[in-house]
Amino acid sequence: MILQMDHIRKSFDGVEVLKDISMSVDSGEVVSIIGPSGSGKSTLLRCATFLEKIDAGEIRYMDKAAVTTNNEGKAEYVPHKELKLVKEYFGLVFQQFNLFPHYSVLKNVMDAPVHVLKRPKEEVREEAMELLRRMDLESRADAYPFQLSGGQQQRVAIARALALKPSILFFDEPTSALDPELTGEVLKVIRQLAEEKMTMVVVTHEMPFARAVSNRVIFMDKGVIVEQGDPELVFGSPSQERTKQFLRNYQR
Amino acid sequence: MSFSTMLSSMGVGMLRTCLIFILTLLISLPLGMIVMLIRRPGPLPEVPRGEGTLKTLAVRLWRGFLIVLRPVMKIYIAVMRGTPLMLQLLAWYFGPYYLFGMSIRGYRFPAIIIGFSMNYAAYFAEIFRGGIEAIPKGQYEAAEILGYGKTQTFFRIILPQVIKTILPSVTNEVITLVKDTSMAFTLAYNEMFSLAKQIAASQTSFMPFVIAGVFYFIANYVVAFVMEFIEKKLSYYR
Ligand SMILES: Nc1ncnc2c1ncn2[C@@H]1O[C@H](COP(=O)(O)OP(=O)(O)OP(=O)(O)O)[C@@H](O)[C@H]1O
Ligand SMILES: [Mg+2]
Repeated sequence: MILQMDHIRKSFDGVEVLKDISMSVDSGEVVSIIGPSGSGKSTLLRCATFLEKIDAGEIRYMDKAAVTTNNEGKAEYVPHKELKLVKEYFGLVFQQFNLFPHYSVLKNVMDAPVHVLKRPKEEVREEAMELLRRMDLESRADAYPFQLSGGQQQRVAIARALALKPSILFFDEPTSALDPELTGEVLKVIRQLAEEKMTMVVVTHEMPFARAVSNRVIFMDKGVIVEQGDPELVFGSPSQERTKQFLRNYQR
Repeated sequence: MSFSTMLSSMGVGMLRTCLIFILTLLISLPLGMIVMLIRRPGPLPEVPRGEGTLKTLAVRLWRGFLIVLRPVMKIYIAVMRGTPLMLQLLAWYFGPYYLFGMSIRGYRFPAIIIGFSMNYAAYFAEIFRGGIEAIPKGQYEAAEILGYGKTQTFFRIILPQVIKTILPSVTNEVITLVKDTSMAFTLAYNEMFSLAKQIAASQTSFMPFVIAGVFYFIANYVVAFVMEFIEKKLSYYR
């Protein structure tokens, strides 16, 4: 197991947004998370990546505990140093890209490996250029984010995440901030990564993409996982009424 | 008194004016940054679990420091912005004598520098705070996911962007400072403007004021030029 989340609970101001959620992700798996707005998809990813603290539950990466629950039922995070190591297992691609505007494309990709992991610059530069090649952005290495289209920016963000060689990559609606004609180029890159057996969890509203690319689909509603399984099953013959209803609304 | 004698007797005053200006900037800019770091709203730092004792101790100290100093900084900024600079200069200079009966001989120049620096640090702190608050949350989150530490995030990601956004406001403040240096005459410090007044009175001539006006104008022209140059340097991104 790359990621294991058990009995996750998370409230905002007394309102429970994640209600006893358990999920796991195996090596090489591509998992799509779908569900209506406000169902807790982003919150789940933010908890998995420690941007939000869970109230109760357990999170493990590569069988290493990052969060456990103590006797009083409260979540306890491992000490800072250990948590920092666990953080190296994952990457996250944001809906709004969040590139560093004052760095060139190449520097956006290189900066963390060089200044966080303290790896040699020349080696990192070669890898970064290779990543940009894969993202079809080689010629834009010296451009600044504001000079790029949204689709290009998101591909830089993906390259930036990959430069740290994560074992699992999370995406939170990677194409939702893009013009419709630009979503294709980003989805293509994610599909390519799936073919290379990159472990990924993708929150998305792109149903055809989720159906075609993922090994497993999770449907969330109101803070619980309503249904999950093979995409053909979930999309083709959903067993839960709420799933059917949600997918019907998408058909139009 | 000829024009050139006037100019040369005002020359030493010009140097003093420049000295006030430069020292005030050198002190108030970093001081404003420190005030902002203390006063900035947001949660108190959490004491890390299971960290080496030295770091835990440092975080604990900083936490306690913040709890005490945050309200103090708020009052400090309110007073600095809410009272005339002239009054503040008088208070800094005569305060030690009236409050503690201390001798204030030779204290004139330090009092001026302290007065200006404390006043400008308050304004700079507010400008910095505005700049920091304008940085989207996503920048912090991206940095955190990529593994940057708190210090690295601030110096590599946040600060460069803050500097760019606050530059126009800082320029305004610096230009005001050039003109405000004339307020040192309150403490009878012989910087350029005080000398201009003295010479104007003794020679019954308006010329010294013209010279002073031209001096301030040129000084601010240089300031604007330098700041514009920096702005241009930083215009490579948006
Ligand atoms: N920081 C926060 N403070 C308070 N409430 C929050 C916060 N973040 C999320 N919520 C609430 O938690 C619920 C779940 O939000 P979340 O963003 O996880 O939904 P989502 O499934 O990602 O929706 P969308 O498809 O619109 O992105 C919502 O009701 C939201 O208002
Ligand atoms: Mg969301």
